[in-house]
Amino acid sequence: MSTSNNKVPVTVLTGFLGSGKTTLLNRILTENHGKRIAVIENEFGEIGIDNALVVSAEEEIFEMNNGCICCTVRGDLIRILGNLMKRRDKFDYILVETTGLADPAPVAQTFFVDDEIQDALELDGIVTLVDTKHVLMHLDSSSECKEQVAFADVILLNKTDLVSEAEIDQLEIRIRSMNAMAKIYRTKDAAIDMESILNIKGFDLEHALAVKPTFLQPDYPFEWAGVFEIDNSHLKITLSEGPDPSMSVSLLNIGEASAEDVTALLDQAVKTFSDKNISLSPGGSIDSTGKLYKLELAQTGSKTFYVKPKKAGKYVLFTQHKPEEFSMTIERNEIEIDAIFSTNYEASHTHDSEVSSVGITSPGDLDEKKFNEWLSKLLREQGTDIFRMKGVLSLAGKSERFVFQGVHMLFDGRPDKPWADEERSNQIVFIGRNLNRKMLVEGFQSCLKKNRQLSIR
Amino acid sequence: MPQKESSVEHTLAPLPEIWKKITALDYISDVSWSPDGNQIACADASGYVSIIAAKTGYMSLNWHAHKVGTLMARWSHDGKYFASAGQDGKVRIYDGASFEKLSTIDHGGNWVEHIAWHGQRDVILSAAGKQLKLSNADGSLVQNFTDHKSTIADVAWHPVVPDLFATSSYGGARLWTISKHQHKRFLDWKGSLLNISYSPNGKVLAAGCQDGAAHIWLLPSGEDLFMNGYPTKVRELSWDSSSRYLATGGGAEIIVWDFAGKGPSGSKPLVFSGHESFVSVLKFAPQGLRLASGGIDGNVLVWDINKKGKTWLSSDTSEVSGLSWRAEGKLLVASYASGGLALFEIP
Repeated sequence: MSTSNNKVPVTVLTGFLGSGKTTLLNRILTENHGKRIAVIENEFGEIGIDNALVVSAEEEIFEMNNGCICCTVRGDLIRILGNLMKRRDKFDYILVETTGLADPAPVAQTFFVDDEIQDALELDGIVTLVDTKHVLMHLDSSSECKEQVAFADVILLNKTDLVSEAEIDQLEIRIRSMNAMAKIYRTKDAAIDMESILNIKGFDLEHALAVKPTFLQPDYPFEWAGVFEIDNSHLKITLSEGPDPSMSVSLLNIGEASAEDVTALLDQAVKTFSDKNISLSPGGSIDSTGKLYKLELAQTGSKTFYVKPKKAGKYVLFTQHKPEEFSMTIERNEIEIDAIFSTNYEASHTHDSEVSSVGITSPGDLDEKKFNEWLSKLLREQGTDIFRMKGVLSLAGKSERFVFQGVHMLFDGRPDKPWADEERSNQIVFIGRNLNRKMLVEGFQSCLKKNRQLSIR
Repeated sequence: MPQKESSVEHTLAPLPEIWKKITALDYISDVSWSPDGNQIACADASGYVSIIAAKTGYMSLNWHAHKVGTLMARWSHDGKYFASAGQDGKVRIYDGASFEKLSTIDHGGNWVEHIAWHGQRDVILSAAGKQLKLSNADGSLVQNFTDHKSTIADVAWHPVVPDLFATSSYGGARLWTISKHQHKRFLDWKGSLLNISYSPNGKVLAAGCQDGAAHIWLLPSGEDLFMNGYPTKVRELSWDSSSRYLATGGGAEIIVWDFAGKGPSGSKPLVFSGHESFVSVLKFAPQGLRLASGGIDGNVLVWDINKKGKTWLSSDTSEVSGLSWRAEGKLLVASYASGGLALFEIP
């Protein structure tokens, strides 16, 4: 969707019955008194406010072209919005309320598919209300409920007065695992600042990823980290047969910080793990910090490596796999020791098994042709399961960043402002059903100009 | 779409204007002539109906007919009655000369998007959402047509056979007779049919589609043809009086299909380029081969599709929302999104 200042913004309100849509609608109308607002409602007579034109719409889903689910639109909205936009007294804002059981995709897609609508209107955002008291009953069983959460730009955890803080915390984690892009607010009686829900530019390319995605429990490229005090006597690491013929490791200096302060080094470790690795055969030494070593483990029997930093101090060793997978032991002066502190990094179990977000960030430049082919194939094959995506890309040979966003198979992208002094990098977020993180990352990686490793965030 | 024939060449001449005025308060949704050719009716988005004297362009009467907006305003076949339809879910019937209100047909909360008077009798079809009714001028119900599963996009009386009509919607076209509440025939097509238009001889039914295509059924066989590849949805359809040519919009170019011989199957359509943006309305003259087109660019063009002759042009800054020829085919009224109305005379 191209941006133009005179387009009328449209906000879509979704949420299950009883989540507070009507309360929010009334609040918006009251707080925007004096503005000309049109409300497309799915039922009659729930709101009655003088300054708003209320049009009741019966949801009619039209399949476009070949009848593909990805190209469904709301026929009633095309008709009603098309007609309303002909009026000279233009509206300042349009609100579309969906039924509790609506799939938001056809509503969103309507704004991509019809020329008349595209010329006059701009989908500003999808606001989803969640009844914190009852949502868990639906979240597991209802695909519509999941879709409403997954599609949202803003999620209001409403009716917070009816549940405990701990329950809301749990719910927020669950919802965050499904949708990394949405802004989440906790509300009582749908009380929220208007600027948090209106004119948020959720589908505006200029604002693609302006809201930094939030990933819970990121899947780090390492599964374990251990802190060791290393003096003049080096450490000896012994590994047996494991699941892989090699394992990447990296050593970082933790300085004077407390042993538990590994968290501060995570970003640096992630960066290191995206570097080119140094192959290390058994008997070799890890003697530098901030480098990625690939321990070659193909030969049979136990393999020994040494950790020999140049200076004494506290160090943290990050390993690609869990030490127990290779029956790894660490010895100092022939005595087996444990880490002062160690921690595992594994996928959180609070993830929704079905709907999730996958984010890919990577420095480097993309081969445009390869990327197009990959994305086209991906959308062709899995467009049904990819609800929304957004990204900022660094295309090889282009001085501007490329921004894009999409809903299912409908894709919209264009060059944006030029890269300045900052490092050129790519960032994509997918929200969808049954997303295969590994496959997405590998597919993306194959489009990079220089075959760089990348971090998964 | 089959390969296009090279565009028809044309020389532009200014379209002679008799008068041009702002007559309505808002976007003119519908413009039509009284059967005697003396008056023009406008329905507009502010909810008003205006009656204009054709000779002068002066408004003789206007009234607020519907809350929100008026979508259509039409005289009955002999001008005895007049009807307006609007976004308040109502059809209002008036005396065709005094405009005294006679009756109301209520469709509940749905917008009444289409009305169509019978060609010989004083009965009127009205469509609102999935509801379709045939009513007398006193508002009493003649027939309720019940089996529409999707919103009715358009309604058209059969041009030859009395009491037969067609509707279009998502999923196909339906053929009906007024004596039955269920449709007589269903011509299915998996797509959203925005409009429906019988050829004047009643042998072809044409529909424009949301997904940039036109669909055609040959009657009575029901054999169908599909023309796709239009840049946008096809909202504009018009047949010439001989039933040979079908003009279609769906883009900045006008695509005219020739039904002579075995056509249009396998034939190349005529292409008329002149509009700077999408065409918004197409109307063939009641006789002959003059085609009037209006565009979002504010231009009204009158083409002679038969010969590579003169094309007439009138420009405006506002989108052309409607066109209507007077019965003799010389006078053409154009309505605009601004509420303006212009009368042209084509020599």
